[in-house]
Amino acid sequence: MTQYVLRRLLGAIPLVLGIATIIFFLVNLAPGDPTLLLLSPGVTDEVIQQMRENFGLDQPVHIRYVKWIGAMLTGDFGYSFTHSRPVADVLMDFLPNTLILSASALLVAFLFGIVLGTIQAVRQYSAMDSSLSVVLLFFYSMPSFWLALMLILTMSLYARNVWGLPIYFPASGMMSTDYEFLSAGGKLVDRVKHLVLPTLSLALVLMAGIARYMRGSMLEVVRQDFVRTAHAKGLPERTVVFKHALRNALLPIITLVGLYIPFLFSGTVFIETIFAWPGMGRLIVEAIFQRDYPVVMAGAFFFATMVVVANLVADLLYAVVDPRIRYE
Amino acid sequence: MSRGPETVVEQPVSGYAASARRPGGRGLSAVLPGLPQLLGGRWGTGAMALLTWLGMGLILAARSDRVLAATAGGWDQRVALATLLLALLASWIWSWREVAEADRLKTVGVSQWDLAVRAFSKNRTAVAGMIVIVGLYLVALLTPFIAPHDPNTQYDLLTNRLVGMSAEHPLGTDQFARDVLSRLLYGARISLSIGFVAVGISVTIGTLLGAIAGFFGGFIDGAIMRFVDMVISFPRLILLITIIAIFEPSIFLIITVLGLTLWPSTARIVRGEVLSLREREFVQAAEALGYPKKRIILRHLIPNALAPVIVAATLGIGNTIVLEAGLSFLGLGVQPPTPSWGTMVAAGRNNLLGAWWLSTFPGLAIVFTVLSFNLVGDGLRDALDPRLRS
Amino acid sequence: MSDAQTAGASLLAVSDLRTWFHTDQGVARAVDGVSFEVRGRETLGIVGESGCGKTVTSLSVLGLLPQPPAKIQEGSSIRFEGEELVGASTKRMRALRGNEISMIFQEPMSSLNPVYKVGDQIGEALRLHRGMNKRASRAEAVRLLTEVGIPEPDRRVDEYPHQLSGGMRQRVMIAMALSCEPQLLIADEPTTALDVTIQAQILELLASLRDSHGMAVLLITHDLGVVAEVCDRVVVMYAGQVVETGTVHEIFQDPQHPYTRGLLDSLPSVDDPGQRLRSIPGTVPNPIAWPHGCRFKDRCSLAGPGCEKPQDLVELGVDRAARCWRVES
Repeated sequence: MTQYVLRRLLGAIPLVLGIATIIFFLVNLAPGDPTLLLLSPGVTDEVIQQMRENFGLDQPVHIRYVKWIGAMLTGDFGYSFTHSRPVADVLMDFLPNTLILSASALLVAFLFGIVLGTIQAVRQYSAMDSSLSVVLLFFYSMPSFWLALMLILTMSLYARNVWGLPIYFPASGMMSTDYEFLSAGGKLVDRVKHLVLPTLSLALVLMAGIARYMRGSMLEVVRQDFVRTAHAKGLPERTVVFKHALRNALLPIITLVGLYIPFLFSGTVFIETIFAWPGMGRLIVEAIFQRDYPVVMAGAFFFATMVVVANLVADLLYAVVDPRIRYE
Repeated sequence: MSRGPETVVEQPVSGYAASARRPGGRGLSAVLPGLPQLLGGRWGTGAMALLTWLGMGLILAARSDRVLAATAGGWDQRVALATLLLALLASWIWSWREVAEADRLKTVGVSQWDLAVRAFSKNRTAVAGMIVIVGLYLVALLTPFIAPHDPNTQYDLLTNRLVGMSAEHPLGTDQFARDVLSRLLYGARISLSIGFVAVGISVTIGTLLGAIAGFFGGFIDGAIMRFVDMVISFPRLILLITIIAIFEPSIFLIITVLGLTLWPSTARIVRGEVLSLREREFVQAAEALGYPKKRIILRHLIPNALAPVIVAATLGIGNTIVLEAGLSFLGLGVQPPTPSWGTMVAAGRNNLLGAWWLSTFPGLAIVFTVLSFNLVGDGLRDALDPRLRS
Repeated sequence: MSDAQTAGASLLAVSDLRTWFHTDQGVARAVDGVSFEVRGRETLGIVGESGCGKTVTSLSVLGLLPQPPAKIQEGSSIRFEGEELVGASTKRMRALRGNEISMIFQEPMSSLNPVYKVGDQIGEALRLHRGMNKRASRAEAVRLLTEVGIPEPDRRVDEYPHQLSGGMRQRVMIAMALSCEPQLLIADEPTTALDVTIQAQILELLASLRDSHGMAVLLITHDLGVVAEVCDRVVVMYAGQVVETGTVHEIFQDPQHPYTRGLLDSLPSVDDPGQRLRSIPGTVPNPIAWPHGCRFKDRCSLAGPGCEKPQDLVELGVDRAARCWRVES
């Protein structure tokens, strides 16, 4: 088991290195003066020349590359001119918010996806199965940014202004403007309220995919011989489904975690932009438009690395759950 | 998918044979294509043929002025005209031939391809999805005739801004007093063509590289797959927006970049297939016969590995359409004034409360389009996989 | 409990069992009027080619067939110790399964759940039917593993199915089936998926366990060699029907039905090596459309005018019958 873990960890290192390399060369081989990558546009030529020397940009690409990798290893991701702070500090501010959003979306998506998929499989061909299939297919085909807007339209704007419902959800930010003045319980409720719409926008699309997959997996498992053996022992239906079938059906779902995380992160770009959520996705988009390339590079690198980490965790989880892998 | 071992199957006498026996089956199809099929219970083909014929006829009748103008018009309009005429001809000829062939009871060899087509046709939702997709592409090509207004014409900014649904503007107008429906239709052309071309590029590259990796193994395999792993680890959108932001956005760039980020998953699939196929006897036989490697790869391995690729490609078109819309939403995709569903949704964002139709309809268009591709992809998966696994 | 089983008393009485499957292509009458009896402490073998309905028969006894598409028809009767099982409540069936009537299957690898330990799976029936706790059931599982001849049972009990060989897995299945001391063990092709040498071991094990536990066995197989080894009486099935019954001796020495003779002829014989293997020409017909008249007539070398009408079972003695008009002569 430890061998398996070590092997996977070691394999991840060249992957991360490769990712960093791709990012660096993408950005630095772009047409145009690389000095402009580090400076705000509209600066005089003398300053540019000075900067060029300072940052060693008059040196050839491969030397810059090595220096950059070296700096990254020590945690120096450069300096952001739009935030006037080291990039590393900026990232640390925004990263936790993205993690909160992603984690809740993942949780909701997997929880509901697994439950719905199981219900569908157990009640195959019933009205519930068919109607759920239709609804899930809709959500599966939806762009998350549009879902976000529709949710805002219905559960925030219309709920409040047009229908006058008592419960409505905020359409932006992580907390209300009067957050400071709320009680401890009130603060929690406020945070949760602000989380609801962004999480749903991300989670519903993912959930649909997971439910479909789970349904297929369950149906396949239920046909297996060992399910027949379980019946032959006289076990009640509930035990057969939830103890014997479910655990086997969940195995491929774990690999879905690794597969869906990139989509999740892509989604956060849209969701954070729409909901003005102060996270990495929004950070990157703004940095791109403002040409703050150190932030862009660091952000992209971080996202990709998180994907690698998530895949690693998924693989480890798989080994924990499936004894066949464990004893390899 | 090779023209594999042929199976002799007795084809049951089905609907269209019955319709051929009906007196005037051929005559009926000459007048109204699709009618004999519908009467014979063949809903899918009947609907497609009939709707195409009726649709084209409607256009000819209602928009005869534009059709006539198209003969002297621009590239756009001539393509639309050609599509119109071809569609008319196609539905007519196809329906005729189908009825004619039904006279012979087919006790002929049926290839794997035919089996797959038959299985697909039985799947109602998949066929419905197929009809929608064909319809969408037809609509996209015929937009110059169908769209009620020009997509970029701005009407009176004082009175026509942000008007809701009406007879004049069935889906309302936007903040520049342009007709939403027309923009929607023109936006369809962008989405559908970008999706198709990008996936085409990625499938070509991915299949070739995946086959090479799987066939040669060793260092080549390792190198290609390492690269594949790296690209797949990137959240695709982040990669896309980074590249597009560095090199200014243009349709050409978007298609290229979309294609370049999708090929790795295809490569993985093909490599897996090739690895399992390589052990099969017919490959060993080909090698023993001394076939050059290129021929083995191209004519033996790739055709058999295609089934999951086709499924992935179909689903990939749906994903790509969503991605393109996302890019346009962020402002990194198709640039104004060219209408794209993504930009339309973005434009509606600031007017959600006052003009909900601006964001809703383009989004619904995306959902229905992607849904159809997903239905077809699922249907293809069900029809292709079990057959080829045996 | 099982010692109270009186040899000779009727334990399982199947009468006119008809199990039909409703499919898109029509109704498949997999089991079409089958009757037989398993008595206390005896081993009854059901023999036939694949597709003759023997597995469906065994699954029907325990009600393990999914009810759409399968349906046990009205008029069928399966009595266990006098109690009618057809139409019994699910609750009652569950109380019997794994408890009074146990079943083992053909593929030991796929019949065991890959993610649970072997001991856990053996003990499951004990926890369910005997109310044992985890510790007690584990201890009992170890004892059972010893009984079925698995070395180092303390270690094995915590292992997973993929860590065991095919033969050992089948022994685990047997241990699982025996855990609650059933009266009747149904074994569906228990040795077909195993190597020949392992086959012999498993059969020996089954025979000795049957004797020590005093239980009755219903053995389903296509292999007459297996029948000769372990069974007391035999039922030969073809095309959903019983075509011959008798003791092992009677069937082997004096087969009455042409199908039985064909099966015996196709066994390779040690006595004349180099002889060409004989097989029964043709294939089993499609259960959706059984042929009219005798269902074997298209493959029978003795086919004649009397074969055009459906054949009845002809009684030839006590527990001896054959479904062929020719035996009357």
